[in-house]
Amino acid sequence: MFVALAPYYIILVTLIIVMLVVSFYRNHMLTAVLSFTGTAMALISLTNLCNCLPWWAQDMLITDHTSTLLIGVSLLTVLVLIVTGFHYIHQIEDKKEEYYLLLLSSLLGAMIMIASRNFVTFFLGLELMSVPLYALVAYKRTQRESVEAGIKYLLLAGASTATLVFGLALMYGASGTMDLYTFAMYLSQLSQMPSFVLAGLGLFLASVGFKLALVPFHVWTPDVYQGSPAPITAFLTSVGKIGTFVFLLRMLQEANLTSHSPVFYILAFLSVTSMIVGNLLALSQTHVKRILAFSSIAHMGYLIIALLAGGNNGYQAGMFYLIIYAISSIGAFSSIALLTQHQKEPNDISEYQSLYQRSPFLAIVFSASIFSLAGMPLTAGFIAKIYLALAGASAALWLLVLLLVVNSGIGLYYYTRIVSAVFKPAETSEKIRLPLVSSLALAFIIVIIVWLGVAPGGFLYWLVP
Amino acid sequence: MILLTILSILLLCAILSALGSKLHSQIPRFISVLGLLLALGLASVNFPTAITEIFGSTSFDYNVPWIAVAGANFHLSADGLSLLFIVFTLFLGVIGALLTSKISNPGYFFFHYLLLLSGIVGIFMAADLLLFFFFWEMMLLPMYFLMIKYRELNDQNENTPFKFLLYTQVSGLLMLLGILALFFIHGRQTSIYSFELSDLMQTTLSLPVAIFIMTGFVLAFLVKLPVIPFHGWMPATFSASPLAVIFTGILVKTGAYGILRLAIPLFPEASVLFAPTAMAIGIMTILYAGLIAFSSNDIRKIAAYSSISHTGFIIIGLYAFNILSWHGVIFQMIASAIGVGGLALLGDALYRRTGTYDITGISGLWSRASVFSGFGLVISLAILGLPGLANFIAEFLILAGTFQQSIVVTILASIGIVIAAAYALRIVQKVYVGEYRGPVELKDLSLREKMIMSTLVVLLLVLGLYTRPIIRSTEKVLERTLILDSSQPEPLAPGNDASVKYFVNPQID
Repeated sequence: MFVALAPYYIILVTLIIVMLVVSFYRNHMLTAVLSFTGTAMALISLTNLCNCLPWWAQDMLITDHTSTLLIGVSLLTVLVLIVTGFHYIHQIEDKKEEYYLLLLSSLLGAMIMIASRNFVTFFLGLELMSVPLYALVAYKRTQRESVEAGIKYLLLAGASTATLVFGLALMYGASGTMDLYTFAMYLSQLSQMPSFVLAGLGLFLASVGFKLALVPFHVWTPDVYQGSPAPITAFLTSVGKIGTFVFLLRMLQEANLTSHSPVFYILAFLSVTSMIVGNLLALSQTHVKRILAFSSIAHMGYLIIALLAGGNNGYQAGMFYLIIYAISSIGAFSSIALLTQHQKEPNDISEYQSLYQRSPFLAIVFSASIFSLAGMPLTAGFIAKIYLALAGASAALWLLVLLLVVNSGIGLYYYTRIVSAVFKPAETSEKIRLPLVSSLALAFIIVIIVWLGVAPGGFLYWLVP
Repeated sequence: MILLTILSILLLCAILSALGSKLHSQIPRFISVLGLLLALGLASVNFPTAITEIFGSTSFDYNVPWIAVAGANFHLSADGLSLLFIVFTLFLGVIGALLTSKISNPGYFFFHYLLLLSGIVGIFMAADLLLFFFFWEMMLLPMYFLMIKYRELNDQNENTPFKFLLYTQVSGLLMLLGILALFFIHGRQTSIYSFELSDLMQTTLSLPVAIFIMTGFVLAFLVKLPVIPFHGWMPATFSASPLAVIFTGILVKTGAYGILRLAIPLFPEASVLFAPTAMAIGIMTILYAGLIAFSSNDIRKIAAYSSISHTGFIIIGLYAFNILSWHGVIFQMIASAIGVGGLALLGDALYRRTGTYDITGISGLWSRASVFSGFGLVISLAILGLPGLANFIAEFLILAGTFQQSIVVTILASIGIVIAAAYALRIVQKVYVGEYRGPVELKDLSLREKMIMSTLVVLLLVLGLYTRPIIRSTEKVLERTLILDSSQPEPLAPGNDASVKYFVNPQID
């Protein structure tokens, strides 16, 4: 049992150590190194897990292939973010160390969400992840837009939590169980879904839609993404979504919910509107973080196709897309974080002009990530998108696949605009010097993006439980 | 293994030239030329064996699982047709690399240049549909990166690379939909889920479905060719970078190859139904592009539209379903790339000497730069289809083949040749003859330019007079494709086959 729960314990212990160290001796470098070591150890402890899968802890947490893989991705993401965000956080005048404290507790919440098999653990994980995020979003306390983003996120996330609790309560009221698998069994015995459960599911989906930023629950996304520090935006887009998505995936798969037409149509509607609205809104933006925010809405719309496709195909495509999306957006936002000087992030597309002259390596990583998000060949995003289209087509969701294809075309327009600017020469340009460790982290990202874009065979095989 | 070696040489040299640029600015070019020559040599040596092989199961196939869970293989193959284009691509690649001597960031340039060439070569090799699509999309990226870096700084048209990427990507995505649909239909029928071209050719499709899927494929190919309603990106590309010439010469030919290799064999019946529309598009392309070429003064624009006009002939020839016209198509693809490429090279040389692309701005070049003007005259004559040069063979074969299908189409297409004569001679008349008007100092072609131009001209001449090697190398493939296309309107009688040889080269056999 200890082995299976080791990653959680290690993160928890790291959290406590970091907290104690911060209270007695403030040192940014020391805190970062400690957090990094703890997260790395948690990642290493995951490799031991493979022998004893799957494993259940008191009906609360489940340790299986899916959770191990995604917890691994989350830990890896945070490792990269600690490295690439160090420079960024260092520019903040005071109270740098609490950042790591909050980040680690948010990570712990996300890990619990990924592994949860019970409504209670899911809710617990969600809150543990969200509450530190309220503070993290507003971490640049002196800047107005960051505080504004924090307040917006706090209010709306609070409302969505209320919705979630109400939804879960309704489902509990009808089925008498909090356990995901018992609930699924209860549902599968029903021929017609009672309106009680349906209302609960609706509220649950609304709250999940908020977390994943699906249209029409997306309004918070651009402002929060814009105002948050770049590493936190990266965290929000990747780790922040993995947990919610996986719980939704488990629930749909166990209970075979997509065979119930109301749920199917709700999800299809969310998918279609997210794809179209997200992409169309991104078209007219010139603020890079806002573009990426709107594009993340569209990406979540694509991901829903995998949920609707269901079965083994849907599972694989969804997992692969989720992981690739997380890695690509980490690459993009890490680059933004590294470009930040004197707490001033580059905002407008024009500020990215001549990045290739200033730092060829950063420009290559940034554009590879952007192109991976766009689904261009030679990058992992291409294979992920093809895989998603395959899953959709195998379930005969032709309309959704067609929309996926059309929207990829639209998406290309705004992604290419960013990359065009990066390679556009400018008269004057000062070189950017990257710290060595950050360069290594970025090199790691680009190797993964290209490797999975060219020869994904082995990884995809490994993805199958 | 040979095919994999060719691809690997190109990719390896791409990386080496990116790394080598730090040592010396001439290293990338040296490595590229060396690698391209090596690949060209390898491809040429294996050319004779390839002619008799059947695509998809040749002795030098390379087949390993790629995305095994989805049933996609990394399957490279080559027959006479594809190896001919590989050789031609590499040959133009060498010329392009030789031309590029003074360029900023040589490492960046040659890295993308070789990546682009390996993408194009990959298209000609892919025997797996998903792999084909991969290469198809892959070649767009380096092209795009070359365009954004080397577009002219004072170019008003900021959106050229953009337009290019959008047009080609979106149409490519439609092809992806078609590929996926074919994959699943075939999988349901035979329970073999495979992207293999030879497997998918066995799929039985009802006519409406076939038309639907074919539209996806054909749209992607027509955009790449390009034909008239979809040509928006092409003149823009030509005016963006002088080197785009070489690329577009090869790049656009992948569209015709796609139709011949995929669209017609996969959807024979739907293709026959599509033929009248294709003919109409072809005629429109020939005439409309020809007229624009005639009315424009920018020499690059003339080159671009003359290239588009030539693709009109390609479309007509392809959808005439006739061995004669298909041979013509192959010739047209090669001859047009050389002719138009030569014209655009001259345009670039003209710009470097006089600072203008405008053909009304200068005249009487012959009195100052006779070698320049001589080559200019030959290229113009090639474009208008003078007998003795390769373009004549191409257009003649296409028209002779089409004549058996539709006399009206042939007549209309012939008008295109007259227009071609008009715009080609207009260049001669404006630029080369007359009283001298231009800069005081005017240098003739340099030794390197002379050598490159004479290579092109010699090639045009040789192909125009001695057509047998090309006919021979693709004959088997084209005949097989024509037989596959079971519902061709008029099956050729055995006697008709001899007419091919008679028209082309009376002495053989």
